[in-house]
Amino acid sequence: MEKSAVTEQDDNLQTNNIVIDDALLARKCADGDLASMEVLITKYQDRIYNVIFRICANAHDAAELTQDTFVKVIENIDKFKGKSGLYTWIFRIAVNLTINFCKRQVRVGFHSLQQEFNESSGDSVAMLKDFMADENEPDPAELAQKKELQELAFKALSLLDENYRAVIILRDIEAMSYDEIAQVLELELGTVKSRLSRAREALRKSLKAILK
Amino acid sequence: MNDKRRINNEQLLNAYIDGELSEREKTQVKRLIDHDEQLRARLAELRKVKAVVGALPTVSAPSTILDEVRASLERKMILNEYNSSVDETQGARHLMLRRISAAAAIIVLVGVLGVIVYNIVRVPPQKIPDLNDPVGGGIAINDYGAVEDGGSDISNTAAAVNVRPLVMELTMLSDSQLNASRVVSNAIYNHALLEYTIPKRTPSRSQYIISCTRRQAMSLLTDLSEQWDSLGTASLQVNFSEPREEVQVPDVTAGQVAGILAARDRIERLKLARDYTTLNRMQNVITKNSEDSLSPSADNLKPVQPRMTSGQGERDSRRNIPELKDNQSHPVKLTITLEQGE
Repeated sequence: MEKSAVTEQDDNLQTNNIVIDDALLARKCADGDLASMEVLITKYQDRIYNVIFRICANAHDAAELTQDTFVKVIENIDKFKGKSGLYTWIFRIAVNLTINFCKRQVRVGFHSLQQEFNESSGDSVAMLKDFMADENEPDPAELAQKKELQELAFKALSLLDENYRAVIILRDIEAMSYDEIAQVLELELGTVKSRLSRAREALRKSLKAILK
Repeated sequence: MNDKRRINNEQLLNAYIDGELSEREKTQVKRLIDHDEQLRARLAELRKVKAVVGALPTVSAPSTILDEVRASLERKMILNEYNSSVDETQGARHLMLRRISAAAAIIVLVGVLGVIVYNIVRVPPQKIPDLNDPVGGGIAINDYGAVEDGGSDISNTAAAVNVRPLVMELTMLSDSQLNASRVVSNAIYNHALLEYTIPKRTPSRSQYIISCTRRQAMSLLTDLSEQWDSLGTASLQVNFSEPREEVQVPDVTAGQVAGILAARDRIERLKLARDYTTLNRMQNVITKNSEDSLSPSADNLKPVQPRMTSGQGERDSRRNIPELKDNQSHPVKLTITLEQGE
């Protein structure tokens, strides 16, 4: 007797094989399958945590927000209708939770962060100056070695409004398309373009400002 | 216009480096930057910004995330089970019980308040007649007792409500006021009228103000009729109201008193009292004339006494005490005054 397609997919899921269909995963989670829930969390936890951490800029808050995100995902998985991708849906929950969290926080650290950014070390500034003056295409592998430069970029990112920050993180770190960003943030495509443009311009200005 | 174009160019450059443009748009951007050094410099800076953000290292989630999520879900599951087992039915029942209790409390409170307010604002009850008022004053009474079928005297109070008491004053003039007083007081005691009697005594005078029912008064008179002669000379004053009138019946007998007491209504009572008054006066006159004209040896030649055809006028016989047929609980204020004769 031949196995049905669904049964084969179930086997793949249970044996944690490479191909895991998000729709099937969502359905099994909705049925209360604990193994599927664990698969879902394991599959997306790093990406979700990374985005949240880059938006809220705090490891402890990011861990709690990631946890809250998956709890909310599992509690509401039966409401996932499959109109968008599962990961888009999960990211929407995560980003909304994080942005709301950031808005609730009293931004007492903003001025100190701004001051800290303006008073960056000479080595960092020199590294940034070289980087910006280089006419060649930026080499990702080379950038990955320049921790000071990353630190500056992270600080400059943290100074942005969370709505701009979310757009640029989803695009440049999570590599989402404009359409996906629009779905995650539930924005018009034009708004995504506008916000992304303003976010990069703000970053550019911040980075160039410390070079002066 | 320039601002709008600049913004458009900015968005176009960003879309260009993000690979979000169509081939035609890419060609357009390439043409622009080839001819505009400033745009070309801006494009380079945007690429660097994008690169430096993209170069931020990916951070991994803490290894505890999975366990934390699982624990959180378990806590919520337990909480939901507890809530569903407790608050759905028990909560509703408790709420219903509280609502019923509150409603009952409000009803009781409103009832109590209603009684209080009623007692405050209601018209005061009609005054208990002042039975010492000899007129009887047309005052309604509302707590006279009545003996019905041998029951308590303080029953049938409702029947006595708004009924004018019959006011009669019986005065006895006897040689031995003390002896007469003993007879009357014994009769009052024997008919359990002590609690309805106000005695007043002086060395030469005893008075009993009896507030009772017609039946009780009749019973008392029946008892007294057996010793009527020992009580001395009796006179009766009957007080009528509306119109106010007093009728004095001299030398009244127990039967006459009982007849007046048993009269059906005011008119009959007034007529009887007047008749008895006339009769007794005539008898006194005849007796006096006879005594004056006849020698003491002619005792057997007593004149024929006048009689009432109804038979109610017959003197001094217990069988002449009529029976009450109705209005037995009608209130009576009977004052018996015993005075020492000469």
